[in-house]
Amino acid sequence: MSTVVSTHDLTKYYGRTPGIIDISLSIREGEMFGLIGPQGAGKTTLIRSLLGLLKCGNGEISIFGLDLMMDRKEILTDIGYVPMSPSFYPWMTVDEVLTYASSFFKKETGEKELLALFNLKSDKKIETLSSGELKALSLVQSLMHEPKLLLLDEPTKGLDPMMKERAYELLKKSNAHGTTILLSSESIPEVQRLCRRVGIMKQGRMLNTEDMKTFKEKKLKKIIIYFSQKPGVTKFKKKKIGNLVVKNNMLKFLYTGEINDILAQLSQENIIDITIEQPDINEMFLHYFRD
Amino acid sequence: MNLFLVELKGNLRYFLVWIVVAILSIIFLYLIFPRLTSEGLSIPCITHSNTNCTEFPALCGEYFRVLGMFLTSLFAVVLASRLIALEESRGTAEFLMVRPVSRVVIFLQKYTAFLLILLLFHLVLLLITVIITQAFSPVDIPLSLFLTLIFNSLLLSCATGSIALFITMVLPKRKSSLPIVVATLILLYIINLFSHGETTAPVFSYLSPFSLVNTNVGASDYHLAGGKIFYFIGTTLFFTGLSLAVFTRKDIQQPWHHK
Repeated sequence: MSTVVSTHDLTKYYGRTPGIIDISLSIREGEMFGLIGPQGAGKTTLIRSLLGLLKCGNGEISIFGLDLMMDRKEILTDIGYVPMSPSFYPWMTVDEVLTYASSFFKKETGEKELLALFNLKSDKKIETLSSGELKALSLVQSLMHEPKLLLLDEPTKGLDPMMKERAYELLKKSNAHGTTILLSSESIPEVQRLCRRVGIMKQGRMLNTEDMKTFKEKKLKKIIIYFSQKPGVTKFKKKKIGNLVVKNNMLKFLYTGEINDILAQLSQENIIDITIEQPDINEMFLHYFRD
Repeated sequence: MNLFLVELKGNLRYFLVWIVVAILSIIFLYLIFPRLTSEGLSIPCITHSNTNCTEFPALCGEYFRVLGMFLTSLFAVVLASRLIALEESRGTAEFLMVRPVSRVVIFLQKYTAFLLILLLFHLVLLLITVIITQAFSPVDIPLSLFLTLIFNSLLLSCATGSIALFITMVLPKRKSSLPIVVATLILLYIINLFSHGETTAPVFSYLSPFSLVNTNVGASDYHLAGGKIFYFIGTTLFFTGLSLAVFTRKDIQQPWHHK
């Protein structure tokens, strides 16, 4: 499979503040690649650099084997983009936005089916749309010219659960038809569900890229336990436990081991309530990348 | 719908509001000023010190100098500051800049729309002025005088608009560039007023494009000199070229509400 996106030592500074530092990345054709990291990790900067919206001080970007600086127009013909907070001309209708967006492409576009999928009315004014509808419209306009590469920055943020499901199905379908997708998200479950490979970013650097299978094997869980009395902490200070917090009778920690092992240990305690959940991304990063 | 039409349509409301402002200011001149002069009140000319605007055409020129050219320039600078900066502030720049079209084409289409709106504004202004003159003017004023005055105003608006466009390009987008652009316009206007002092004129008049507008409508040989036309067109091209150079190299900012 050929490489669709390739960056080499990509660096972007905002004044003296680093946006991204020495990012070298390679995404293969037909791949759905996830980009995760806390706020300020550089995910958006990386995506905006790939679109040529930001001019990078150092490094090279190649998309479809073409140099972004030299062949930007040709490259953008086959790219769809969903920004984190999409904005459109407030005085336009949904239909006018899509007509305007499609006017830049020579291809026939199939927006009507996509609009129906998200229950978007074509005569609705942009200024009356909710943030979820704006995100849905952004998804529609990014897909309607059947791009070879989709760059998605938090594409489902603001969508209701039903629309989220539809978006996931749409992205899977598009990927099955050969579209390469770069998905940035703060939601680990979302990336886990959709992507085969993931890039982990922190403070502008790409810490690691790994297969989602490997990432899933880390099995990180957040466990919150309420005891009948103040718990003894020392027995919980073990290798597979991190971010330990004790507050009155409550104990909260992140756990990477087998869930049955910890439950067996907890069965000897006098517990009022227990919650086991997926930690949010910041907690995961605190756990993995504290140092 | 293409980029050029979107630019025109997006500024329609703004255009109409300013047409109303222009109509009101012209009606004000025709209704109030003749009455003042008929009651024996003399209005001193700023353009030609130690003289009074007793003739109606001279009064029109003076009114344009004091209020008209500032308003038309204000229209131009606000329009210019909306051209790119507004796209960035509301986030539509991202929508536009990820289309397969070069930044040079985007800039030129938007700038052409800007020039067309300015031209339309001045044509409507001319039309309104002629209609109101027919209805209210106490004396006959030749159409050529208005044509020259409007042409002056159009050239001035292109120059001040281009300066404003350049300012919006180089300012960081963390806050609105509009107050700075309007403040610059006011500064240039004040320099123009100051440059009419007898000793300061030669030094300061070259700093402000307002100073080069010929508003001496009462003069028998009223015209706009070729050198001044060259100055306005040169200023417009210089700042437009600089703006284009900055635009093709700059980072496209995220909308402000993201920050």
